[in-house]
Amino acid sequence: MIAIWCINSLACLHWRHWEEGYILFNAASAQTHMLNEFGKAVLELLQEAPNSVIDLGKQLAVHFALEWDNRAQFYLQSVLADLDQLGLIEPYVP
Amino acid sequence: MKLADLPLDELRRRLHQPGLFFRIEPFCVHLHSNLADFPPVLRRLYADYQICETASFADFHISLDRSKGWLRWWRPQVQFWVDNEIPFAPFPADTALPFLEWGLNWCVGQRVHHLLLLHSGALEKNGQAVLLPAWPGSGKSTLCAALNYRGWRLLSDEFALVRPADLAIIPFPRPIPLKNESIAVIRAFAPEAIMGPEFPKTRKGTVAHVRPPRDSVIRSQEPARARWIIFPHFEANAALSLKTLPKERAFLKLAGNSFNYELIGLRGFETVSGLIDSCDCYLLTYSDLEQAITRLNALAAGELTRTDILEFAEE
Repeated sequence: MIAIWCINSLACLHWRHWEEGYILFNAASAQTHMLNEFGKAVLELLQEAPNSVIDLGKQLAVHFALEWDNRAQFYLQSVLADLDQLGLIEPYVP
Repeated sequence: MKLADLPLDELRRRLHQPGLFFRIEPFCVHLHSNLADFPPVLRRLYADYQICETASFADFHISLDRSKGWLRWWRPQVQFWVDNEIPFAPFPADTALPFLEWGLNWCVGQRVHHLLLLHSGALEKNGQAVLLPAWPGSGKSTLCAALNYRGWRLLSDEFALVRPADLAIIPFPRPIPLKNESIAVIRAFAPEAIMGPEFPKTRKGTVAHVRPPRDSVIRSQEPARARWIIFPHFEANAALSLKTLPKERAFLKLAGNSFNYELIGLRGFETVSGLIDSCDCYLLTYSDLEQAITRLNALAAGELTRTDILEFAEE
Protein backbone atom coordinates (compact mmCIF):
# COMPACT_ATOMS: atom_id res chain seq x y z
CA MET A 1 0.00 0.00 0.00
CA ILE A 2 1.24 3.51 -0.85
CA ALA A 3 1.89 5.47 2.35
CA ILE A 4 2.17 9.00 1.02
CA TRP A 5 0.57 10.54 -2.07
CA CYS A 6 1.20 13.75 -3.96
CA ILE A 7 -0.13 15.49 -7.07
CA ASN A 8 1.42 14.10 -10.25
CA SER A 9 4.33 16.42 -10.94
CA LEU A 10 3.33 16.68 -14.61
CA ALA A 11 -0.32 17.47 -13.95
CA CYS A 12 -1.60 20.95 -14.76
CA LEU A 13 -5.11 21.18 -13.34
CA HIS A 14 -7.93 23.54 -14.30
CA TRP A 15 -11.29 23.44 -12.52
CA ARG A 16 -14.83 24.51 -13.36
CA HIS A 17 -17.93 24.21 -11.24
CA TRP A 18 -21.53 25.13 -12.04
CA GLU A 19 -24.30 23.17 -10.37
CA GLU A 20 -23.24 19.68 -9.42
CA GLY A 21 -19.81 18.09 -9.33
CA TYR A 22 -16.55 19.53 -10.61
CA ILE A 23 -15.06 19.45 -14.08
CA LEU A 24 -11.31 18.98 -14.02
CA PHE A 25 -9.11 19.45 -17.06
CA ASN A 26 -5.55 18.18 -16.92
CA ALA A 27 -3.65 20.21 -19.51
CA ALA A 28 -0.78 17.70 -19.37
CA SER A 29 -2.93 14.88 -20.72
CA ALA A 30 -5.76 16.94 -22.30
CA GLN A 31 -8.13 14.66 -20.39
CA THR A 32 -11.28 15.88 -18.70
CA HIS A 33 -12.81 14.36 -15.58
CA MET A 34 -15.91 14.94 -13.51
CA LEU A 35 -15.34 14.67 -9.78
CA ASN A 36 -17.59 14.87 -6.79
CA GLU A 37 -16.88 17.05 -3.75
CA PHE A 38 -14.87 14.31 -2.10
CA GLY A 39 -12.52 13.80 -5.04
CA LYS A 40 -12.08 17.56 -5.34
CA ALA A 41 -11.20 17.84 -1.65
CA VAL A 42 -8.64 15.03 -1.92
CA LEU A 43 -6.91 16.71 -4.85
CA GLU A 44 -6.94 20.10 -3.15
CA LEU A 45 -5.35 18.68 -0.02
CA LEU A 46 -2.68 16.96 -2.09
CA GLN A 47 -2.08 20.18 -4.03
CA GLU A 48 -1.23 21.84 -0.72
CA ALA A 49 1.33 19.20 0.17
CA PRO A 50 2.08 15.46 -0.08
CA ASN A 51 0.03 13.63 2.48
CA SER A 52 -0.35 10.22 4.05
CA VAL A 53 -3.56 8.26 3.74
CA ILE A 54 -4.12 8.48 7.49
CA ASP A 55 -3.62 12.25 7.67
CA LEU A 56 -5.75 12.74 4.55
CA GLY A 57 -8.52 10.81 6.27
CA LYS A 58 -8.30 12.98 9.38
CA GLN A 59 -8.40 16.20 7.37
CA LEU A 60 -11.30 15.00 5.23
CA ALA A 61 -13.22 13.97 8.32
CA VAL A 62 -12.89 17.53 9.64
CA HIS A 63 -13.64 19.08 6.26
CA PHE A 64 -16.86 17.13 5.78
CA ALA A 65 -17.72 16.88 9.50
CA LEU A 66 -17.95 13.11 9.22
CA GLU A 67 -17.09 10.32 11.54
CA TRP A 68 -14.11 8.56 10.02
CA ASP A 69 -14.68 4.81 10.02
CA ASN A 70 -13.45 1.81 8.07
CA ARG A 71 -15.88 2.39 5.22
CA ALA A 72 -14.71 5.97 4.81
CA GLN A 73 -11.11 4.75 4.85
CA PHE A 74 -11.94 2.16 2.18
CA TYR A 75 -13.66 4.80 0.03
CA LEU A 76 -10.64 7.09 0.34
CA GLN A 77 -8.37 4.26 -0.78
CA SER A 78 -10.53 3.59 -3.83
CA VAL A 79 -10.63 7.29 -4.75
CA LEU A 80 -6.84 7.50 -4.44
CA ALA A 81 -6.49 4.43 -6.67
CA ASP A 82 -8.77 6.05 -9.27
CA LEU A 83 -6.89 9.35 -9.18
CA ASP A 84 -3.61 7.46 -9.53
CA GLN A 85 -4.97 5.54 -12.52
CA LEU A 86 -6.03 8.82 -14.14
CA GLY A 87 -2.51 10.15 -13.75
CA LEU A 88 -3.59 12.91 -11.40
CA ILE A 89 -1.63 11.76 -8.33
CA GLU A 90 1.41 9.61 -7.75
CA PRO A 91 3.29 8.01 -4.85
CA TYR A 92 5.43 10.57 -3.09
CA VAL A 93 9.16 9.98 -3.32
CA PRO A 94 11.04 12.35 -0.99
CA MET B 1 -21.16 35.98 -59.03
CA LYS B 2 -23.01 32.96 -57.64
CA LEU B 3 -22.73 29.40 -58.87
CA ALA B 4 -26.28 29.60 -60.21
CA ASP B 5 -25.25 32.52 -62.43
CA LEU B 6 -22.66 30.43 -64.20
CA PRO B 7 -23.95 28.68 -67.36
CA LEU B 8 -23.67 24.93 -67.01
CA ASP B 9 -21.16 24.62 -69.85
CA GLU B 10 -18.97 27.27 -68.26
CA LEU B 11 -19.21 25.58 -64.86
CA ARG B 12 -18.23 22.29 -66.47
CA ARG B 13 -15.30 23.95 -68.25
CA ARG B 14 -14.04 25.63 -65.08
CA LEU B 15 -14.37 22.47 -63.02
CA HIS B 16 -12.32 20.67 -65.62
CA GLN B 17 -9.67 23.35 -65.97
CA PRO B 18 -8.40 25.28 -64.02
CA GLY B 19 -10.85 24.24 -61.30
CA LEU B 20 -13.59 26.24 -59.64
CA PHE B 21 -12.72 28.57 -56.76
CA PHE B 22 -15.78 29.25 -54.62
CA ARG B 23 -16.56 30.21 -51.06
CA ILE B 24 -18.16 27.90 -48.55
CA GLU B 25 -17.76 30.38 -45.72
CA PRO B 26 -15.46 30.65 -43.88
CA PHE B 27 -13.36 28.74 -46.42
CA CYS B 28 -12.38 29.02 -50.05
CA VAL B 29 -12.54 25.72 -51.91
CA HIS B 30 -10.72 24.99 -55.14
CA LEU B 31 -12.63 22.17 -56.77
CA HIS B 32 -11.60 20.26 -59.86
CA SER B 33 -13.68 17.56 -61.52
CA ASN B 34 -13.86 15.83 -64.86
CA LEU B 35 -17.12 13.99 -64.02
CA ALA B 36 -19.80 14.67 -66.60
CA ASP B 37 -22.80 14.16 -64.29
CA PHE B 38 -21.46 16.15 -61.36
CA PRO B 39 -21.74 19.85 -62.39
CA PRO B 40 -25.59 20.01 -62.49
CA VAL B 41 -25.84 18.46 -59.02
CA LEU B 42 -23.20 20.82 -57.64
CA ARG B 43 -24.97 23.81 -59.16
CA ARG B 44 -28.34 22.76 -57.77
CA LEU B 45 -27.11 22.38 -54.18
CA TYR B 46 -24.55 25.19 -54.13
CA ALA B 47 -26.56 27.63 -56.26
CA ASP B 48 -26.19 30.61 -53.92
CA TYR B 49 -22.50 30.26 -53.06
CA GLN B 50 -20.10 32.91 -54.28
CA ILE B 51 -17.56 32.18 -56.96
CA CYS B 52 -14.11 33.68 -56.43
CA GLU B 53 -13.12 35.19 -59.75
CA THR B 54 -9.56 35.99 -58.78
CA ALA B 55 -8.73 33.37 -56.22
CA SER B 56 -5.09 33.17 -55.28
CA PHE B 57 -5.55 31.17 -52.10
CA ALA B 58 -7.77 28.23 -51.29
CA ASP B 59 -8.09 26.43 -47.97
CA PHE B 60 -8.70 23.12 -49.71
CA HIS B 61 -7.64 21.99 -53.18
CA ILE B 62 -9.99 19.12 -54.00
CA SER B 63 -10.33 16.95 -57.08
CA LEU B 64 -13.11 14.54 -57.83
CA ASP B 65 -12.00 12.53 -60.82
CA ARG B 66 -12.76 9.19 -62.33
CA SER B 67 -10.45 6.44 -61.17
CA LYS B 68 -8.05 5.39 -63.89
CA GLY B 69 -7.71 1.68 -63.14
CA TRP B 70 -9.35 -1.07 -65.17
CA LEU B 71 -12.43 -0.81 -62.91
CA ARG B 72 -13.36 2.33 -64.86
CA TRP B 73 -15.01 0.07 -67.46
CA TRP B 74 -16.57 -2.43 -65.10
CA ARG B 75 -17.53 -0.41 -62.04
CA PRO B 76 -16.78 3.27 -62.64
CA GLN B 77 -15.42 4.95 -59.53
CA VAL B 78 -14.62 8.44 -58.36
CA GLN B 79 -11.46 9.32 -56.51
CA PHE B 80 -11.20 12.14 -53.94
CA TRP B 81 -7.94 14.05 -53.97
CA VAL B 82 -6.95 16.79 -51.57
CA ASP B 83 -3.69 18.63 -52.08
CA ASN B 84 -2.56 15.85 -54.42
CA GLU B 85 -3.13 13.14 -51.84
CA ILE B 86 -5.78 10.40 -51.80
CA PRO B 87 -7.08 9.96 -48.25
CA PHE B 88 -9.87 7.45 -49.03
CA ALA B 89 -10.67 4.43 -51.12
CA PRO B 90 -12.70 5.41 -54.20
CA PHE B 91 -16.50 5.62 -54.21
CA PRO B 92 -18.92 4.56 -56.98
CA ALA B 93 -18.86 7.22 -59.69
CA ASP B 94 -22.51 8.10 -59.22
CA THR B 95 -21.97 9.21 -55.60
CA ALA B 96 -19.66 12.13 -56.30
CA LEU B 97 -21.70 14.68 -54.34
CA PRO B 98 -21.88 12.68 -51.08
CA PHE B 99 -18.19 11.93 -51.55
CA LEU B 100 -17.44 15.66 -51.84
CA GLU B 101 -19.44 16.38 -48.69
CA TRP B 102 -17.80 13.65 -46.63
CA GLY B 103 -14.39 14.51 -48.02
CA LEU B 104 -14.83 18.17 -47.16
CA ASN B 105 -15.90 17.17 -43.64
CA TRP B 106 -12.72 15.16 -43.37
CA CYS B 107 -10.63 18.12 -44.55
CA VAL B 108 -12.18 20.41 -41.96
CA GLY B 109 -11.89 17.82 -39.19
CA GLN B 110 -8.24 17.20 -40.00
CA ARG B 111 -7.04 20.73 -40.50
CA VAL B 112 -9.16 23.41 -38.92
CA HIS B 113 -7.76 23.58 -35.42
CA HIS B 114 -7.81 27.32 -34.83
CA LEU B 115 -11.53 26.77 -34.10
CA LEU B 116 -13.31 24.36 -31.78
CA LEU B 117 -15.13 21.86 -34.00
CA LEU B 118 -18.36 20.48 -32.62
CA HIS B 119 -20.36 17.72 -34.23
CA SER B 120 -23.43 19.83 -33.96
CA GLY B 121 -26.14 21.58 -35.82
CA ALA B 122 -26.22 25.32 -35.27
CA LEU B 123 -29.04 27.71 -36.12
CA GLU B 124 -29.79 31.31 -35.30
CA LYS B 125 -32.91 33.33 -34.67
CA ASN B 126 -33.06 36.98 -33.59
CA GLY B 127 -29.32 37.04 -33.04
CA GLN B 128 -29.24 34.03 -30.72
CA ALA B 129 -27.97 30.63 -31.71
CA VAL B 130 -28.93 27.16 -30.65
CA LEU B 131 -26.39 24.36 -30.78
CA LEU B 132 -27.72 20.85 -31.47
CA PRO B 133 -24.83 18.51 -30.70
CA ALA B 134 -25.48 14.86 -31.46
CA TRP B 135 -23.97 11.79 -32.99
CA PRO B 136 -25.43 10.12 -36.10
CA GLY B 137 -28.90 8.64 -35.80
CA SER B 138 -30.19 11.17 -33.30
CA GLY B 139 -32.33 13.12 -35.76
CA LYS B 140 -30.03 16.15 -35.73
CA SER B 141 -30.00 16.79 -39.47
CA THR B 142 -33.75 16.31 -39.77
CA LEU B 143 -34.37 18.79 -36.97
CA CYS B 144 -31.84 21.20 -38.49
CA ALA B 145 -33.53 21.09 -41.88
CA ALA B 146 -36.96 21.53 -40.32
CA LEU B 147 -35.87 24.52 -38.19
CA ASN B 148 -34.09 26.00 -41.19
CA TYR B 149 -37.35 25.89 -43.16
CA ARG B 150 -39.29 27.43 -40.27
CA GLY B 151 -37.39 30.68 -40.00
CA TRP B 152 -34.14 29.73 -38.29
CA ARG B 153 -30.92 30.65 -40.12
CA LEU B 154 -28.67 27.68 -40.74
CA LEU B 155 -25.17 28.19 -39.39
CA SER B 156 -24.17 24.58 -39.75
CA ASP B 157 -25.55 21.08 -39.81
CA GLU B 158 -22.43 18.98 -39.40
CA PHE B 159 -19.79 21.25 -37.88
CA ALA B 160 -20.47 24.03 -35.45
CA LEU B 161 -17.34 26.16 -35.67
CA VAL B 162 -16.61 28.05 -32.45
CA ARG B 163 -14.01 30.83 -32.33
CA PRO B 164 -12.16 30.49 -29.00
CA ALA B 165 -11.35 34.21 -28.68
CA ASP B 166 -14.96 35.37 -28.41
CA LEU B 167 -17.08 32.18 -28.58
CA ALA B 168 -18.65 33.33 -31.86
CA ILE B 169 -20.35 30.59 -33.86
CA ILE B 170 -18.88 30.96 -37.33
CA PRO B 171 -21.41 30.06 -40.04
CA PHE B 172 -20.52 27.12 -42.23
CA PRO B 173 -23.82 26.47 -44.01
CA ARG B 174 -23.78 23.57 -46.42
CA PRO B 175 -26.34 21.21 -47.94
CA ILE B 176 -27.95 19.15 -45.17
CA PRO B 177 -27.59 15.39 -45.71
CA LEU B 178 -30.79 13.53 -44.92
CA LYS B 179 -30.75 9.79 -44.59
CA ASN B 180 -33.35 7.15 -45.33
CA GLU B 181 -36.78 7.91 -43.80
CA SER B 182 -35.81 11.53 -43.07
CA ILE B 183 -35.86 12.33 -46.77
CA ALA B 184 -39.61 11.73 -47.10
CA VAL B 185 -40.22 13.41 -43.73
CA ILE B 186 -38.64 16.67 -44.90
CA ARG B 187 -40.24 16.47 -48.34
CA ALA B 188 -43.62 16.37 -46.60
CA PHE B 189 -42.68 18.90 -43.90
CA ALA B 190 -41.20 21.51 -46.25
CA PRO B 191 -42.35 20.86 -49.83
CA GLU B 192 -40.64 24.09 -50.84
CA ALA B 193 -37.23 22.73 -49.83
CA ILE B 194 -34.91 22.23 -52.78
CA MET B 195 -33.28 18.85 -52.63
CA GLY B 196 -30.63 17.09 -54.62
CA PRO B 197 -30.91 13.59 -56.06
CA GLU B 198 -31.24 10.55 -53.84
CA PHE B 199 -28.10 8.46 -53.57
CA PRO B 200 -29.05 4.91 -52.62
CA LYS B 201 -26.71 2.30 -51.18
CA THR B 202 -24.22 4.68 -49.57
CA ARG B 203 -22.54 3.65 -46.30
CA LYS B 204 -25.37 5.43 -44.50
CA GLY B 205 -28.17 4.08 -46.68
CA THR B 206 -30.00 6.42 -49.02
CA VAL B 207 -28.83 10.02 -48.75
CA ALA B 208 -30.31 13.19 -50.22
CA HIS B 209 -29.18 16.75 -49.55
CA VAL B 210 -31.32 19.77 -48.75
CA ARG B 211 -30.11 23.05 -50.17
CA PRO B 212 -29.89 25.72 -47.44
CA PRO B 213 -32.27 28.63 -48.06
CA ARG B 214 -30.64 31.61 -49.78
CA ASP B 215 -30.74 33.78 -46.65
CA SER B 216 -28.55 31.31 -44.75
CA VAL B 217 -25.93 31.37 -47.50
CA ILE B 218 -26.03 35.12 -48.12
CA ARG B 219 -25.56 35.82 -44.40
CA SER B 220 -22.78 33.30 -43.97
CA GLN B 221 -20.32 35.98 -42.89
CA GLU B 222 -22.48 36.90 -39.88
CA PRO B 223 -21.40 35.01 -36.74
CA ALA B 224 -23.86 34.42 -33.91
CA ARG B 225 -23.72 33.95 -30.15
CA ALA B 226 -24.81 30.66 -28.67
CA ARG B 227 -27.67 30.94 -26.19
CA TRP B 228 -28.90 27.35 -25.92
CA ILE B 229 -27.27 23.94 -26.11
CA ILE B 230 -29.86 21.27 -26.83
CA PHE B 231 -28.98 17.61 -27.24
CA PRO B 232 -31.67 16.22 -29.58
CA HIS B 233 -32.81 12.65 -29.64
CA PHE B 234 -35.41 11.33 -32.07
CA GLU B 235 -37.46 8.45 -30.71
CA ALA B 236 -40.40 7.08 -32.68
CA ASN B 237 -43.73 7.71 -30.93
CA ALA B 238 -42.06 9.40 -27.97
CA ALA B 239 -43.84 12.25 -26.23
CA LEU B 240 -42.06 15.57 -26.61
CA SER B 241 -39.86 16.41 -23.66
CA LEU B 242 -37.45 19.23 -22.99
CA LYS B 243 -35.38 18.61 -19.87
CA THR B 244 -32.85 20.84 -18.18
CA LEU B 245 -29.40 19.34 -18.16
CA PRO B 246 -26.97 20.13 -15.33
CA LYS B 247 -24.08 22.11 -16.71
CA GLU B 248 -21.36 19.69 -15.71
CA ARG B 249 -23.11 16.92 -17.64
CA ALA B 250 -23.68 19.25 -20.56
CA PHE B 251 -19.96 20.06 -20.49
CA LEU B 252 -18.98 16.40 -20.80
CA LYS B 253 -21.55 15.74 -23.53
CA LEU B 254 -20.50 18.80 -25.50
CA ALA B 255 -16.78 18.04 -25.20
CA GLY B 256 -17.58 14.46 -26.22
CA ASN B 257 -19.24 15.80 -29.36
CA SER B 258 -16.14 17.72 -30.39
CA PHE B 259 -13.72 16.58 -33.05
CA ASN B 260 -10.73 18.45 -31.68
CA TYR B 261 -11.43 19.28 -28.02
CA GLU B 262 -8.49 17.27 -26.71
CA LEU B 263 -6.27 18.19 -29.63
CA ILE B 264 -6.43 21.93 -28.96
CA GLY B 265 -5.86 21.40 -25.24
CA LEU B 266 -6.59 24.20 -22.80
CA ARG B 267 -8.21 26.34 -25.52
CA GLY B 268 -10.76 23.58 -26.00
CA PHE B 269 -11.50 23.39 -22.28
CA GLU B 270 -11.86 27.15 -21.98
CA THR B 271 -14.03 27.37 -25.10
CA VAL B 272 -16.40 24.65 -23.97
CA SER B 273 -16.48 26.23 -20.49
CA GLY B 274 -17.39 29.56 -22.04
CA LEU B 275 -20.21 28.01 -24.04
CA ILE B 276 -21.58 26.27 -20.96
CA ASP B 277 -21.36 29.57 -19.03
CA SER B 278 -23.38 31.43 -21.61
CA CYS B 279 -25.97 28.82 -22.58
CA ASP B 280 -28.97 27.09 -21.06
CA CYS B 281 -28.59 23.36 -21.58
CA TYR B 282 -31.34 20.86 -22.35
CA LEU B 283 -32.11 17.36 -23.50
CA LEU B 284 -34.79 17.23 -26.20
CA THR B 285 -36.65 14.02 -27.04
CA TYR B 286 -39.03 14.27 -29.96
CA SER B 287 -40.93 12.25 -32.51
CA ASP B 288 -43.05 14.99 -34.08
CA LEU B 289 -41.18 17.77 -35.87
CA GLU B 290 -43.97 20.35 -35.61
CA GLN B 291 -44.17 19.86 -31.84
CA ALA B 292 -40.41 20.11 -31.47
CA ILE B 293 -40.25 23.30 -33.49
CA THR B 294 -43.14 24.88 -31.61
CA ARG B 295 -41.34 24.15 -28.34
CA LEU B 296 -38.01 25.52 -29.58
CA ASN B 297 -39.66 28.63 -31.00
CA ALA B 298 -41.32 29.22 -27.64
CA LEU B 299 -37.98 28.74 -25.91
CA ALA B 300 -36.36 31.28 -28.24
CA ALA B 301 -39.21 33.74 -27.62
CA GLY B 302 -38.96 33.31 -23.85
CA GLU B 303 -42.51 32.01 -23.77
CA LEU B 304 -42.01 28.65 -22.09
CA THR B 305 -43.66 28.09 -18.77
CA ARG B 306 -42.21 25.98 -15.97
CA THR B 307 -44.43 23.09 -16.96
CA ASP B 308 -42.91 23.04 -20.46
CA ILE B 309 -39.47 22.20 -19.08
CA LEU B 310 -38.83 19.06 -17.08
CA GLU B 311 -36.24 18.79 -14.37
CA PHE B 312 -33.33 16.48 -15.06
CA ALA B 313 -33.56 13.13 -13.33
CA GLU B 314 -31.02 10.35 -13.37
CA GLU B 315 -32.29 7.41 -15.45
